[in-house]
Amino acid sequence: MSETALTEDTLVIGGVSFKSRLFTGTGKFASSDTLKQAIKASGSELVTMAVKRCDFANLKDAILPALKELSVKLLPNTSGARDAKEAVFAANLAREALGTDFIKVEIHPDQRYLLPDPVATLEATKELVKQGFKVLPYCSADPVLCLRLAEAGASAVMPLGAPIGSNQGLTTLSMLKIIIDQKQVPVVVDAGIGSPSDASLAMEIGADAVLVNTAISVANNPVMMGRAMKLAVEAGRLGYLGGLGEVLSVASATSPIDSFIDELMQKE
Amino acid sequence: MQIKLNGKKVETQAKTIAELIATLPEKPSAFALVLNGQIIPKSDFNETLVNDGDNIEIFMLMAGG
Repeated sequence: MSETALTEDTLVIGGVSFKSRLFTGTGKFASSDTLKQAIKASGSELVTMAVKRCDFANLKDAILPALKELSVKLLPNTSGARDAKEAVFAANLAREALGTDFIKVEIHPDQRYLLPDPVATLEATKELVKQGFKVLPYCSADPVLCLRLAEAGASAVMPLGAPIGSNQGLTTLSMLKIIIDQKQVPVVVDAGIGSPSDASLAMEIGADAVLVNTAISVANNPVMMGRAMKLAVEAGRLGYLGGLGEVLSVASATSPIDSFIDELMQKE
Repeated sequence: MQIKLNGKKVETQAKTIAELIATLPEKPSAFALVLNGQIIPKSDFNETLVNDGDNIEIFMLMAGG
């Protein structure tokens, strides 16, 4: 495989092609300008947003215009939904507001760990697929659930590495490997990625993409971190495509081990 | 007449949703409107009448992961 392979390496989700395998979230940035610069530096082409009721007394609407300038594709989420019915409603609000069929189903009734409700997520996915949405469900790192979501017509699955915003990394690594091994649709590792090495690791094990938000937005320098994540995702992807060597329990010499020094000593 | 707009009681003379939207001093660049629990497509704003006691909610896109 030539080095140019990466330039031809395209990810297709819901009929849309992406060159960048780094998806980004827009939460927790200090300003819309920082957000814009960081997303630009990350090279991300798919960016998430949430749907919320307008607060007319304090209308903050700077983010969407900033993202439109970057020409990224938007992935609205259903965050805040506590069950399947609310998620389906939120998805329809997003479709009406943005005119996109893409939706990240996100149903986490528990506020402490924000873990996705697998039953409600599957139920919402089935209904939204029926309604013509391209559904990307945020879900537990459960290999059987991921298969069920794919069977239900999900365009991708988004299993978590760790709780949202926790920066713990890939605590579900062994399950993610199984999900990737038996995948029917693209696998996007979402939530928990706290560092560029976490993002690299997800890509090295064969994830199709990663979604990063907090690690970039809360960094001291989000623009620098956006760039770091871009490089990490590309490195991890190349590592996966290049093919990792076998892990051995003993050494395997990289230099000739003929004992020429011994021979020299004997001559003397 | 009086309606409820995003949880607040508001007096309005607007006859249609389109007229109501036009009276808003500020509105988000992209939004969805819900009238009494039903999402109203923008293409129906001109024909959809506002009635006394209606509950109208406007949703927008915000930062989120």
